[in-house]
Amino acid sequence: MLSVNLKQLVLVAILTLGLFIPASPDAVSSPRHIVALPVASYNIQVTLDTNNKMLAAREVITYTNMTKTPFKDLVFHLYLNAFRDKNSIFLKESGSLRGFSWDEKNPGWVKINSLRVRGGSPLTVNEIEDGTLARADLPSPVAPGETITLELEYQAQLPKVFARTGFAKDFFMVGQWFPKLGVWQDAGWNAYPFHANSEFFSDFGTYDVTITMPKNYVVGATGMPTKAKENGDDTRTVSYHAENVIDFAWAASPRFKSATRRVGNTELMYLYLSEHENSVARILNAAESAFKLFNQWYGEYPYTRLTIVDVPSDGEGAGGMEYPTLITAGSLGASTGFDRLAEVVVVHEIGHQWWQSMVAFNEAEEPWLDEGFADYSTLRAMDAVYGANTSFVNTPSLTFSYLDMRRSTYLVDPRVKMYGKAWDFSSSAYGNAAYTKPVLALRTMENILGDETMVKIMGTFFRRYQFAHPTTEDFHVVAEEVSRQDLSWFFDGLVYSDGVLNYSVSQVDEHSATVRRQGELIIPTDVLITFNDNTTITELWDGKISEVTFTYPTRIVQRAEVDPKRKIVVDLRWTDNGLSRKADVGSWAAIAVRVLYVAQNMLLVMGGQ
Amino acid sequence: MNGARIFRDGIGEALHRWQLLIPLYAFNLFSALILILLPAILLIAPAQRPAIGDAANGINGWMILDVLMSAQVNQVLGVQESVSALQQATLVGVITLAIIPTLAGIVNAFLNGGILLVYHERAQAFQWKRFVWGCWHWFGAFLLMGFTQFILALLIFSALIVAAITAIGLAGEWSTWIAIPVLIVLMVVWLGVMELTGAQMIVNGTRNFPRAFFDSLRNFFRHPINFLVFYGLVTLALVAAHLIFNFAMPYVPLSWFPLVLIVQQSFVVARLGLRLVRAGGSVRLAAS
Repeated sequence: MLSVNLKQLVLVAILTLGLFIPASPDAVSSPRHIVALPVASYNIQVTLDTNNKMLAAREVITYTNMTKTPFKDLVFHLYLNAFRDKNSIFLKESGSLRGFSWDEKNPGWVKINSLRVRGGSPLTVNEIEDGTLARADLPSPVAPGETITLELEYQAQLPKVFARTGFAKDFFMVGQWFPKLGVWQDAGWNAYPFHANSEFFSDFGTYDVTITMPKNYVVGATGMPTKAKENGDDTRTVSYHAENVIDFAWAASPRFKSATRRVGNTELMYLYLSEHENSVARILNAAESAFKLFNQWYGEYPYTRLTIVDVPSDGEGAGGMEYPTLITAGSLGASTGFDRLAEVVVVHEIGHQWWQSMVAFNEAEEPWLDEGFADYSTLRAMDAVYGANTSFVNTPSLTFSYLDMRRSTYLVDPRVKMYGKAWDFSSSAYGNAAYTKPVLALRTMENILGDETMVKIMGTFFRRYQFAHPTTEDFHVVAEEVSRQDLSWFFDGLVYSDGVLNYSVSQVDEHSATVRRQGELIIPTDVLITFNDNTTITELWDGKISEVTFTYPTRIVQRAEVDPKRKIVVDLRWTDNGLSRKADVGSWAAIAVRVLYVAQNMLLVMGGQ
Repeated sequence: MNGARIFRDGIGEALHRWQLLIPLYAFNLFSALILILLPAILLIAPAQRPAIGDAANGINGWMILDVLMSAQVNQVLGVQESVSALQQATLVGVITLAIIPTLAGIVNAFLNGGILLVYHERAQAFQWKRFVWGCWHWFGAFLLMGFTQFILALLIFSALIVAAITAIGLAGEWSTWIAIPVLIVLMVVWLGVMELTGAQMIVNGTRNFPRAFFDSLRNFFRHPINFLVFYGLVTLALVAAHLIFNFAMPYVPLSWFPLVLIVQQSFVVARLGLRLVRAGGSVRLAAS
């Protein structure tokens, strides 16, 4: 069945590959925002030894210096060395990820056996820092605009998967596996050792990867398969081609089955394991819905296939991860029929296709951008598809939205800045800084500016920086340009500061209402005053003074509400946002009646009735 | 007399002695009112917050968060509060959960004697005085029986559950499909036999519940089909009542509290009525 599919796919690939993205004329002069591709291209032939869980590969890198500054050395990422021994920065900072731990009996590593500039003599490669980086001096500098071609041979040992990459029995998730160059910018290599909280940053390029593995293995990878052949020695080789991507990942297992769905010009392919057969419709429905929404909100997905990889229960550490045109699902084991945990994972990772794979932020230096934007997209999509109140848990007696879920984690530790390098944060603070607070901050911005303006901001930002590396300040410029508003409350107050906010109505008298701000964060908001004749006035409050009294000498105030529509979702408490002069007896009675029934019901049950 | 006939007679008895619904409902309602007194008082202050209007239409996630995280938020804001909303809610919840089984057990033990006596003396005219005498006369016996039943159930079913888990462990996961239904049937039989014990005490005119227990066991083994059919039909009726209620409730706007009150209280009355059907039927079973 696969061979038939491959023939069809090869045809589709030939017809649809070769995306043409015009080079920006100012590519060299504006290194951070270049739209000139490819910068770093990789041609790799890799063989998977499934018995020893090893890779043997040859790699040709073509790198173009897009900056004004020459470079005379090379810095490579060797991410797999983070799993080599306990001395790596990754394992010192955290021996586990999302509850999965490193297995010292099954370590991971990568070793460059040879490196040379094409046609030149071998170069000396020295590991630096904790071995997750390597450096080699070049015989001569690479000038601005010049292209260098490098040839490498290396071996890699895959770890028992616990942090994104590795194996679990016959399941292989091969990510961050090949020696990858850092990003040459600002007269230096932007390449950090692999930290526990940190993700990745690399240049766009073209990838041609040929994977040889046992012939019973099914593979899914970044890009599109272009060629598949049986080698006559119980192995087969599949070639993949991908353009305008920042990375290449692949997964293989003899137990993979596939299900596909087409959305516009893109095929969604779900590679699933037989034990998760009943999740196929669930995953593909979520993926299709999210995909359509992101296409509509941000811009068309330019690739012809997105592969979604299922992970086994003993390989959950590989789950919930994003790579260009390939994501891993997850949480199927923990998910019930009442929660949307599995959907959230898929939608979030698809969000990364726009906010990381195409708009390639520096995930190490500004993790809030890719995780925050992807998770904000998740919130929007989950609300749109599953309902704003039922987007996370939907049981007959309790509903919980994705926003509620994010607020619940925010309230545990709200005093955190969003901006900062990944390793500046503790593990728990990282979650709030990179995911939770950005979601709430962006939702607050959406509520204040309006949905239409927010979509316009995100769409403009996407189109302007697709296949580039924008920063927080680039987003600041676009957001203010599109909204035509001063958004310093967002950037100074939420992104660069750890301030918190609780708005409340502290007092309502016959002719006045007093509103109060607790915390340092200031966000302009509305105050809704309702008078005894049921007429209302909406006052604008800039929030700068911590307590303000609105006075109406000729009218009788009945009720006051600050931020009455609960637009500010970073507000620490909502129940105190309003106050009436008189108690709402009707609502009190409505609740009392229901509580009465609960008590009666419990008495009946306990009494055996 | 077969089980279906006993069930039909039980309905007839319940309708004939409808007066018994009054004390049953009154005790349930007043016990519940006592239980909700504290939460209702605690809700008076928040009733000045417009958020209570949202809560009247149904509890949302953010409301739960506001309560759960109140202490944390106060700490972040540097607000000193002697008792947080979460602490208050926890305290009220713990007190309520501790009181409910005791209150339910005492009320049940008190009313059982009177109700069963009225059904046993169905040939005579209904007298409140006789009902109250029955309540009082067998109160101690039912209280002791309830306590003993609780302890025995704890011991017997703990042992059965451990045995079932061990058996499943030895035989494999498939045996869960046998073990769980067997446990459920045993539990229903146990509850039925204990209820029959109460009826047997009244029918035999004794407060010696151990003897009544053995009588009811004998009765069960003599007429197991009648017993199972009767309790099966009562259970079906209860399930039907629940289904109708659960179907109807989502259509009732929660803020229309008089309508909510009517629907919920009707359901409570229906369940109490079914309890009377069970009581009437169990007296018939005990006497057969």
